[in-house]
Amino acid sequence: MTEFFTNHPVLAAVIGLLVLASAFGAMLGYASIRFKVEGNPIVDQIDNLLPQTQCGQCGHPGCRPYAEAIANGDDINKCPPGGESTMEALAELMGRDPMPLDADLEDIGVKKVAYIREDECIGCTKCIQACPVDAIVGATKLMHTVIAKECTGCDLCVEPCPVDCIDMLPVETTIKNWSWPVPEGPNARFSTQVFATDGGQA
Amino acid sequence: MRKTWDFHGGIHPEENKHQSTQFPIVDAPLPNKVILPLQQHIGAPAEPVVLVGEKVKTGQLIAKADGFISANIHASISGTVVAIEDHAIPHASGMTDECIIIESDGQDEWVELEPLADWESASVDQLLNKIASAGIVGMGGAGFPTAVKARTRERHSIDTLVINAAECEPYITSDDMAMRTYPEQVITGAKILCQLVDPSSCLIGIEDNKPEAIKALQDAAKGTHIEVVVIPTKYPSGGEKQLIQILTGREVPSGGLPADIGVVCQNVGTTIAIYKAITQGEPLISRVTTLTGNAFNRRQNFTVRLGTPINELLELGDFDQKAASRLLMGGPMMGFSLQGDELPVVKTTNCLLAPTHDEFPDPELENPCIRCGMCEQACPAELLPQQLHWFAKAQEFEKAQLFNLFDCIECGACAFVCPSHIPLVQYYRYAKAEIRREDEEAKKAERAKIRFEQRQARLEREEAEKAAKRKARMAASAKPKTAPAATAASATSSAPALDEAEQKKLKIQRAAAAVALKKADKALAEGKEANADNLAEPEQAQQQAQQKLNDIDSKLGTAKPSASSAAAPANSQVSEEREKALKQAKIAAAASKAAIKKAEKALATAQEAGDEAEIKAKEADLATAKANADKAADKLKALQSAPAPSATATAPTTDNSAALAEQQKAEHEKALKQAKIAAAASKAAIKKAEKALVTAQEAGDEADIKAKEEAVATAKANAEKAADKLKALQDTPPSAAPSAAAGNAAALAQQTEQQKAEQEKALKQAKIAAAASKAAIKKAEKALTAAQESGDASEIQNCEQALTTAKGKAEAAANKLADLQQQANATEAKPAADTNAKTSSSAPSEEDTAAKGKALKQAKIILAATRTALKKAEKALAEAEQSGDADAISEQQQTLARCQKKFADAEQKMAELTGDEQGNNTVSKGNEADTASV
Repeated sequence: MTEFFTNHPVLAAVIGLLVLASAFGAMLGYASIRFKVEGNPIVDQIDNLLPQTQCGQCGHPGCRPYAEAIANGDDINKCPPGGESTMEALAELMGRDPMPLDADLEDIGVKKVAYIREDECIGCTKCIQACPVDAIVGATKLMHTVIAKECTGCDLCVEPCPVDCIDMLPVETTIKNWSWPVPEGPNARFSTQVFATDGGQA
Repeated sequence: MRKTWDFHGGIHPEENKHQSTQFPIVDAPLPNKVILPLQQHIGAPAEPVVLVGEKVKTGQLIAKADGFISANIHASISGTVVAIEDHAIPHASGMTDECIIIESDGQDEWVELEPLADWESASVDQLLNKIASAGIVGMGGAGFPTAVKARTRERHSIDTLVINAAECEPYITSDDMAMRTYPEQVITGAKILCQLVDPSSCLIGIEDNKPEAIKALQDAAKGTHIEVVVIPTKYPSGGEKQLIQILTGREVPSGGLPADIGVVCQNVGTTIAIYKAITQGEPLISRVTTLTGNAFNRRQNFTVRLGTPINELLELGDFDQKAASRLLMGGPMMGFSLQGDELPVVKTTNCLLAPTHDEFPDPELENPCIRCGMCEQACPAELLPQQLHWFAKAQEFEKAQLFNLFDCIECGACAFVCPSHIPLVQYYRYAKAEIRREDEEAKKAERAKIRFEQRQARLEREEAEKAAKRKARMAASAKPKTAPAATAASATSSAPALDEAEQKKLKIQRAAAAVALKKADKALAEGKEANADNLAEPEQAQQQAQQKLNDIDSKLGTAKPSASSAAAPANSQVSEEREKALKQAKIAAAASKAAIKKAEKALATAQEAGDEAEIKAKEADLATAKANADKAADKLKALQSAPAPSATATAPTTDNSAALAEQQKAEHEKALKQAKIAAAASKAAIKKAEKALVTAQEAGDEADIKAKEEAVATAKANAEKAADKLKALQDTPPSAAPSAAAGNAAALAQQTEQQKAEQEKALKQAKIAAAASKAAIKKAEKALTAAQESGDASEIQNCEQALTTAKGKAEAAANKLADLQQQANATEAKPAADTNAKTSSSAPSEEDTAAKGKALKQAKIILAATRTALKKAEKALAEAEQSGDADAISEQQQTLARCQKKFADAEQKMAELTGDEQGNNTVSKGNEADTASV
């Protein structure tokens, strides 16, 4: 055997390579079955970046369909609720250039929730059917109301209302969700500044 | 001397502590009112347990801890709760939060206090409960509930208890003065904590700039295992993690807790509060607060009741408003500016600082970072402040997190040393808030996603269920046609009987007879197929079998009614029996129909064969079958048209007319259903007959045609009859009987309700009819366009005619609908009027408004509907204009005008209604706006 290989070095190399190739091929084949990935993982990653308002402003019926569209080459700037930060995250994930958001500037960044003026509601249930996250409760001919905690502010319920009793109100700042403002940068005084930043002049 | 360690960085700002240590602690005068925020601690806000107007005593619980991380709040003066409302609180945002406001009665009357006399032998649980119920939180500044912190032993092994007496921040002297004044309380409080935590060593860390306090504590701690450790003065040695590092040399891991390295740290003010709670039973209602800064003419420490408005303290300290540059709560390094002075002192208020402009000039302009690296030298948490600053500025929060932004203790050392006067801490606070907000949003997004997916799944499931139901219904409606005999057999057998043995016997006989009949039929058929001459015998046999079967059937039929009449005094039973009888009759009718069919088929084969005698015989057969069918139909009719005579008979005996009415209604409904079925069946019969007529015409057999035409006519007449009956049933609601019980008010109410229900039903039907007629119009229109396209004149005419009739029908339906709606309104108004008359003076207006509200709602709905119609019409007009068809345009314009008129009418009605309803201004305003927009 050894003698045969030493006598035929070329043949030995070919056989050796073939054996190796078949071994690795078998390994790869097994791995591709054993560790098969269901679905497109990039879609999941994109979907996790989207704000899940399910508002349809991107022209797709929900966030996941838009995630699929982005995976298939759709623009990354169609999500006004996500704002600039979502677009940038998407650009980074997809390896594309950031692009300006495709929306009116005033719509961006203001968190809103739906509010039903309850004495005007006629109980038609149209908004309930429109709400993608079941955040409106009510029944036929009974007054409806929005669960503000679950509302994503997608404003899909505004259009179907026959008596126009739904308003989109900006989320109020309370002591619970207040946060420190950002300093204005160089050449500005920070108004709530205290001694600590006065440079030890006291 | 115990070995101490050092921590990285730190600064040495001017201490400025001597100003407020010249005089001993004084009790501040009782405030006139106190404002107690429900959240003075980290965690959930407390839940109020008093009501506005309630009298409270000092030390009484007024708000209970809500949840695990929360703290009780007690009244700090005696008096009356005047409000529980949003009030400005000391917070960097200057915003309001819910507070309990108590007005003093000047008595300062205390509740009875319950001290734990021998705390040394008390259990850990007793001590913890006492501390928790006293509402003690960390007094150093963060305000973490102490009882929760003291519980860490349950999950961590603790070897060192650290009492934080460093008080490193400039100006503040409240802890210093408290230690000088009450050293025994500090030591006893520390002992209590030792009993709770059970550490191997207890260290009091104190900076060397407080010699008096050090001496007092050392004297008090003599003979105990508590060690007073003097550490060099450096800011921020009073930071929890820094002090632990100085005293033990251990570093708290990033993102971890001191308990992770076996240390628990409590503030010295907290130990005093614990002492008071355990040995005196006194809850946390006061604290020592420093008033300092040169804008105060009286710089001193005061024992202040919690909730005291700051303006009362300013008066006490002889505050000079003009000299002050600003007013801070807390020290100069970590405090925050206060906006307004109607703010209360809270559990964490250790200092009120009012510096002059000389002490605290306005902040310098922020300059660009020069990357000098001094901030890194100063940072006690060994972070890279400069990098964090860049990341925060560029909103690269992820990177900031990678650089351990959350280990920043916001001590301000970096900003203190920054030569560019960059407000670094503000940048970090901003970045932290943004990261927390993003986390919150991510969580919300996750929840929204789950809800969306669940909704999607639910919709799909509902759709599938609907489809399955539809399929099942279709299958169910197909079944009786294909197997009437089978259902007949099963129905007869399933009928429960009173005379069971008899019925069973009869049933068995019937089954046998049915088998015999089948056999005879088969024999006959075979005979025919063989074209045998002598068919009389099998025929006879078949007839005999049929006769026998009929006999048994009739017996079975009579057996049941007799049984039921004998043993059915109860109403419900009678109706049940009747239902059964009805079912049987129906089955019989179906069976007879099947027989007719068979006979017809046989006749047809006979005609094909051309045997005249045979044909005649078959015709006779057919006639008998038809007669049978007629009989069955009659019986069915009789049963259906006699709506429960037994029920009416028993009615007088049962006083309960309501039950009767209900029963009658059920009967009526049943009858209605049957009539509907009959109508549908007759329609099907017409169709069949027509089809037969067509085939006959094609075949060209005149006699046949005539016969078929007749059949069609009779079928049509039948259908008409069925329709009439249906109409009659629909028109006459079964409300005749209860007139006997007219005197009974309850029955009357029930009756009206019933009528209303009927009316509603009728309304629904009318609506359906209207919708159907609309659909018909659409169809007709479609047909018309198709005809126009094909260009067939006569067809067009036909279609046009159909369209006009459909439109007429639709109009009639709409009229009827309107009438019904009016009627419904009238009846709705009537009961209200009745009750009004009865109750005379009590509450007529209320009911009136309820009725009006309903009317208003209806008007709104109508308005909405007309608005939609208007929109549609406008759209149609636009389309017509685009297509350029003049006729269409004029037509659409007409419809639009009509819609507008309707809309205007609806609006007027609405306006009238809203005008009636005083006080509901918003709605009428909305209407005006609507009108304006139109």
